[in-house]
Amino acid sequence: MSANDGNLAYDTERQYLGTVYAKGLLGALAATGNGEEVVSELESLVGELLPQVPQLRTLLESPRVPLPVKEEVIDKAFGAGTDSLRRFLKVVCAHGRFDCLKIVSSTARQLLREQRGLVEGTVVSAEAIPDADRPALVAALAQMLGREVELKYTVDPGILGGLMVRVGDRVYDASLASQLENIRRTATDRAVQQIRQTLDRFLVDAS
Amino acid sequence: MKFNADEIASVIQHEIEQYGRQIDVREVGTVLEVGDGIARIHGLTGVAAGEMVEFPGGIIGLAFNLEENSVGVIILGDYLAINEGDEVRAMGQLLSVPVGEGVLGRILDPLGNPLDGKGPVSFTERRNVETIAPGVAGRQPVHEPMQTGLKAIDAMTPIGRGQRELVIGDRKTGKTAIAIDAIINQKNTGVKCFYVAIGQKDSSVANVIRELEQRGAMDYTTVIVSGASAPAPLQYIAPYSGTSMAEYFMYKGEHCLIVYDDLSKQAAAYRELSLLMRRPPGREAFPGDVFYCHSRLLERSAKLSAELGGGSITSLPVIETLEGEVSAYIPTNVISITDGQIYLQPDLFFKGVRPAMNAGISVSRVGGAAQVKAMRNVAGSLRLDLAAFRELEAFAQLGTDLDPATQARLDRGYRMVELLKQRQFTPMHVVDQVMMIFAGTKGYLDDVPVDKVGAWEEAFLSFVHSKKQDFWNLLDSSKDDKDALKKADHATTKGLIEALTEFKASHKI
Repeated sequence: MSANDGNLAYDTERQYLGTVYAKGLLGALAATGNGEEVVSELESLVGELLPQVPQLRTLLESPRVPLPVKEEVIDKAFGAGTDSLRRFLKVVCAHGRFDCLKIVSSTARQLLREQRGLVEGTVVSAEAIPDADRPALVAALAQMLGREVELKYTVDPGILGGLMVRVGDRVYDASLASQLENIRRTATDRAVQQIRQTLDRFLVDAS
Repeated sequence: MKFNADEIASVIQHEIEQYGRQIDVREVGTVLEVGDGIARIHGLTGVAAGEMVEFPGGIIGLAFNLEENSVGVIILGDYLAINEGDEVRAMGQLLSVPVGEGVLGRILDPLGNPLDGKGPVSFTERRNVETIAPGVAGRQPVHEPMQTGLKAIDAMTPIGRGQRELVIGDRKTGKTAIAIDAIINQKNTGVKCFYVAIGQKDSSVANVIRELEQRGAMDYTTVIVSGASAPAPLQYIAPYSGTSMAEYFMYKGEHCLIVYDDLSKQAAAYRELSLLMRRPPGREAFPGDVFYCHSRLLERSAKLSAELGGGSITSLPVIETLEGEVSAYIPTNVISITDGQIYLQPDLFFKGVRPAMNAGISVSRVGGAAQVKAMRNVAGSLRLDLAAFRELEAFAQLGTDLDPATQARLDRGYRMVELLKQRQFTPMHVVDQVMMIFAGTKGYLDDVPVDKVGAWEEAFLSFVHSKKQDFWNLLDSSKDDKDALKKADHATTKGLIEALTEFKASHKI
């Protein structure tokens, strides 16, 4: 496992490279029209297969394995997949950029969404939102943002109640925790301000 | 007396009742890496250059570098409390500091937080740290004097209100002393003073503050401190925030004096930030825009036009040179920006000539127009005469016999040099200065031994103040008369000659 596998670490250099490859992939797939299919294959490869078979990843990333061997392995291992995916993987290997594959896959998915006018969002709630309520939430967000939203749902009891929606770099925070924090901050600020302005009101004679 | 808890609780209860539910919309990013006073952030796609961002725990940062995939932020606070992966939110506003009467007499950090333990700063207004300097139409030529109280400076390189006069010299040549004397001399003039200490030892700053307090100068002075241990971002913004506090008074039509002590350290802090942000280094590894860094700061010192209230900011930037190297990058930059410089030399300083100003290469490009007329009449040629004397003195050291005329010029020169010496923290009133320089240039000191000039000066001034106060008042009121001390039949000239003759008759050397 390399260092950029965690969700937190963000590698601007690989991100840049990954974006270039993802654009290239989608550009090539625009002609055949099976973008959705290939990107799903790529996602399952990155998300499921590679973590299960780390040797495969090591082999394809390794600069010491000659390219023909890698191509053979790709043909054998992904024989069931589409031609487009195999060709793309060979290109990535030929340029020695297999380490960027995870970023390529996530960027390609994002670009695909953008092409269709969709945005991705994350909803955090204190308790799981029942399936029945979800369409209403999606519709409300779509109206607010003016575009279709694809939502991921996560549960974080720490926010106590309410909702927190993150779309891109923007956070719509209607959580109970942050409102309580806001109340605490404004109330203490205001109290301190009033004490400073009219000190007499707050003083009592100790005797 | 003690606090009434119920009353406080009622205020808080009122606030809670008034609290409106609202969705908090914020633009966020994630810390990728942090260290050395800077952080790189992923996200914050809509952030503007110079916008404030907030880290967890309320630490403030400034968006400094906007790159394709990340944002470089300078951290104005304790960067050790920030971790990788922390959420950063854009605050949608530019950096500002509290301004107003409340900052006077206070010791603040560059963000306006008090460092003197005298409680919070009371303010009603904030002002952006980075503001645009007044334009051409908003200014007028410098015409009022800003007295420093130092004979050498007020006579030879006069400073006007709204001028920028550089104080430059090696370490330990009395740069700060000049600035402090100028601040002390502003007592009872209504001029507000700001002393911005950048990258200095906290012990030196504490000494400066103690001197200002002892001489009652803290009543109208604000000290902005970002010491040597402060992170580079704070040292970088300190002069801008000090200027913002001064601008509040300038735009109200009042006058300010601001000392940046010193800008070489600020340039070094800016270099540190720029290199950490991977901006390309230029000469002496300074970034390409280090000139702009100083020019936009010093352009904010101005004399406003009458329509804008006629307020002013006079600035005394300080630059420390290494081994007298004035042709280094930062000194040449700041020399070219300012309206003149006071050049201090270590050899003069160690010879006992203090302030150790080199009269030959110190200039004031605009201050002459602002000089008190009487001073202009007596000291007009003083600077050139002193420079000529220095040359003659060097020549005389060859040991050749000198003709009496040359010897007389040398003797006069020695006495003038002696006369321009002044102890620290003893600023002089301009009328006293004018009388002494008149006495020196007109030859009234020629028969006084060189080592007695100081004592003679003291005795003469106390003589005038005790016996000739009427004349002193006359000179004070007509010091801006263009003929004062110039025409032989002018009342001031007659009065001064009379006082000098009378004193010489009674005073025994």
